[in-house]
Amino acid sequence: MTILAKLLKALNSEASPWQIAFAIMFGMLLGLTPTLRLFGVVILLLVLVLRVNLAAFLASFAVFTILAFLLDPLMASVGDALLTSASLQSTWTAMYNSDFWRLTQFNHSLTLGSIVIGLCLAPFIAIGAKIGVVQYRERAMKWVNKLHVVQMVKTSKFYSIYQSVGG
Amino acid sequence: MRNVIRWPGLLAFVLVIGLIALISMLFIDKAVKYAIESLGADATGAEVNVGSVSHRYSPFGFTVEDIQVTNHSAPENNQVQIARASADVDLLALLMNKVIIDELTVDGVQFDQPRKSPGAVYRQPAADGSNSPFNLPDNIEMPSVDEIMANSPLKTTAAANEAETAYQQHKAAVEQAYQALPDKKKIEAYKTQLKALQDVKLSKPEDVIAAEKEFKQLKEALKQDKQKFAQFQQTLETAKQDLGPKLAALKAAPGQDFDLLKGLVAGDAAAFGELTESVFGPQARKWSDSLFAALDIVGPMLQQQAEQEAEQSRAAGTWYSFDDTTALPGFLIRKANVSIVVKGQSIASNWQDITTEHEVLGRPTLFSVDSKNSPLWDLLNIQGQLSLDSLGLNANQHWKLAGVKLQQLALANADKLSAVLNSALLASEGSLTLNHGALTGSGDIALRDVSIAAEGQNKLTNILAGALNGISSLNINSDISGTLAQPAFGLKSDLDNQLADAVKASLGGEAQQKLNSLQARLNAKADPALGTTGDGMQQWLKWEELADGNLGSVEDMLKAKFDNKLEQEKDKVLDKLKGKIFG
Repeated sequence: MTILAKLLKALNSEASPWQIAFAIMFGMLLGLTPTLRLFGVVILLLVLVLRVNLAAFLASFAVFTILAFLLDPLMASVGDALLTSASLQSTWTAMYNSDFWRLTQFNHSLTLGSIVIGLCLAPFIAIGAKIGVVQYRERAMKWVNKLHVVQMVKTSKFYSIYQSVGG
Repeated sequence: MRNVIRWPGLLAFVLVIGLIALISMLFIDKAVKYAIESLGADATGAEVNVGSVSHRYSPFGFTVEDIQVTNHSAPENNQVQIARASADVDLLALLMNKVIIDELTVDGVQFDQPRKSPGAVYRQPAADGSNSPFNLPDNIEMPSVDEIMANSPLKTTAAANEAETAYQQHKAAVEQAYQALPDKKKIEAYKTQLKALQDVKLSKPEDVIAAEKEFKQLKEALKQDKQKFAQFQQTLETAKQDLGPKLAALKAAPGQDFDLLKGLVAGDAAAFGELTESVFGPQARKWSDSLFAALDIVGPMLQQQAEQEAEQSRAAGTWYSFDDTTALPGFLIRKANVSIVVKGQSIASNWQDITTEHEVLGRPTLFSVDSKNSPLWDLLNIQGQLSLDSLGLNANQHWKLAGVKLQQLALANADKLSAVLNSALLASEGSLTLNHGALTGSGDIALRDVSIAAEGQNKLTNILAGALNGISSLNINSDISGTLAQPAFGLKSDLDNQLADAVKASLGGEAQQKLNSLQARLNAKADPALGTTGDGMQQWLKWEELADGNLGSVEDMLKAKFDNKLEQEKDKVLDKLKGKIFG
C-alpha cells in the first residue's frame, strides 16, 4: 500500500520521467529473472547507485515478479533454444569455462531466457514508461484527480498514507 | 553526473549485501539443519534428527553432529545414526546450483541403536512378506498309512495300470500268431513226408512226376509255415518292447514310492524342509541388513534425490553443461570416508563418486570395506559399485567374511522352541547384483565350532532341540532374490535332513511298523499287475522258445537236397527208358 502511494506521489511529483521510466525498467529486469543470481545483484546495485525512483522500482518489481510466473515457460524455452543452438555452442563453451560467466548462471535455461527477454524489452519498457509518465502528467493527472472515485479515495486510509509519505 | 549518481545508494547497496551475508551466516547452520532433517525425512520416510550444524569458510564446509535416522519398521530404534559428519563443499559450484563435496568424513556410524524417544514415521514400509519366524507343526501325530497313500500320487498304481493295459493290448495278437504256428505233430508229419520222399525208389516216369509234385507241395507248405513263424516273432517282439520297460517300471515303483513316502510317515516333511530358514532366517536377515547397508540406505536416497532433481528441473528450467572433460553432476561427493561402529569395533569404509547422475559423471559410485584382525572377526571385506540410470538403480557387491566370532545370538524364541547360539565362528562369501531394482545373488555361510542351546516344548520340538544341541558345524546356502525394498532370502542346509533323520530315528518302533505296513501295501498294489503281466510275459517267452525250435526244424527241412535226390531218380528212370527204347 505504501509503495503504491509512493508510486502515485512520484507520478504526481516533479520527479524526472526518466527516473521513473528507468526504475520501471530495472524493476522489470529484476522481476523477470530468478532470484539469487549475479544479474539481480548488479540490477540492485544500479538501482541504488543511479538516481532512479525507488517506489517505481519496487512497484514494477512486484508486478513483473507476478508476471514472471506466467512467462516462465516461455522464457525457459527461449533459454533452451539459445543454449542448444548449434551456432552458439562455441560461445557457450568458452563462457562455461570462465569462472565469471559460470557465476552468472547463464547455463540455466530460465535464467538466460529471462535475461535475454528482459534486456530485449528493456528499451521499449523504458521509453514506453517515460512517454506514459509524461502523458499521464499532461493529460490524465488532472482528470484523474477530478474523478469521483479518486475523491472518495482521498478520504480513505490510503490517502492518509499517501499524504504521510514524505517528499 | 552528480544528478545521476546517488552515492548514498552505494552505501545502501553495501549495507543490503552485508545484511544478506550476515543473515546467511547467522542462519545458515539452522537452514542446513532444517534441510537435512526435511530432505532426509522425505528420502527415508521417517523422522530424521540433527544435533547441531556448524560451518567454516576456509575451506568452506560444514560439520554436522548427531544425525539420527528413525527406523520406519521399528521407530523406537534408529535405522542409522552418525556421530559426526564433516564435508568440504566447493563454494563456486554451490553458487552454480551444484553440490560438489570434495571430501566427506563420517564417523561413528551405528545401525539399529535405540532412540531416546520413538521417531515419527511418515511412510509405512512395505510388508516384507516373510513367514512367521517359527512355524513348526503343533502335534507329532504320525499320519496313517491309509491317509498317506490316499493323499499321495503313487507311481505303483500308475505303473500297474500301464503294464496291465499294455499286456492286454498285445495278448490277443501274440496268442493268435502263436496259434497259427504249426504244432509239433505237423512238424513231425513234415519230417516223415520228407523222409519218405528222400527214400523213395522211382521206377516209372509217372512216379517221378508224382514225387516232384509232392515235393513242391511240401516245400510250399514249409515256406508258408516259415512265414507264420516270422509273423509270430515280429508280433512278439513288438509286445516285448512295449511291455518290457513297463514291467520293469512296475517292479521298481513300490520301492520308489516307499522312498518318497517314508518321510511322511515320520511327520510333516515340509516343516523339516524349512528348518534352516526357521532357525537361522531371522538372524541371517539381520546380518544381511548390515551387509546390504550400502545399497539399502544410500541407493534409495540417491534415487529419491535424483527424482526430486528431475522434478525441479522440469518446473524451473534446465541446467546445461558445455565442457565434456569437466562436466559435473548436480550432486557429487568425490571421496567419502565412513567409519561404522559395530559392537564397539570401528569399520572404515571408503567411497568414491557418490552422485545421482552417473551417466553425466561417466563412472559408478565405488565403495569398499576392508577390516582385518579385529577382536570380533579375522576378515571383513566388501567391494561394490552402484549407479543410477533412467531406469533405476544398478549395483553389484561381493563380500567375504572370515573368523567372525558370534556369541549369544537368539536364533529362535517361540512357544514351541527356543534356541540360542552360544558361540560359533562364521565365514561367508557371496555376491549380489541389483539390476534396476531386481535383486539376484547367492552366498555361502559356514558355521564352525557351533554351540547351540535349544529347548523344545513338545515331543517334536524336544527332538529338534536335541538335534540342534548336537550340531558342531553347519553350511548354509542362501539365495537372494526379490527387490531392494523387499529382499527374499532362501536358506538351505544339511540341517534339514539331519533334523528330519533325528525325528525319524527317535520315533523308533512305531515309525518302523508303519514303514513296514507302507512297504507291504505298496507291494500289494503292484503284485496283481505284476502277476498277470509277469506270467503272461513268461508264457510268451516259452512260446518264443518253442517257436524257435520248430522254426529251426522247418529251416532244416527247407535246406534238405530234395532236388538232387529227385534228379538222381529221374536220371535212373530216363536211363531205363533209353535202354528199353534203344536196346
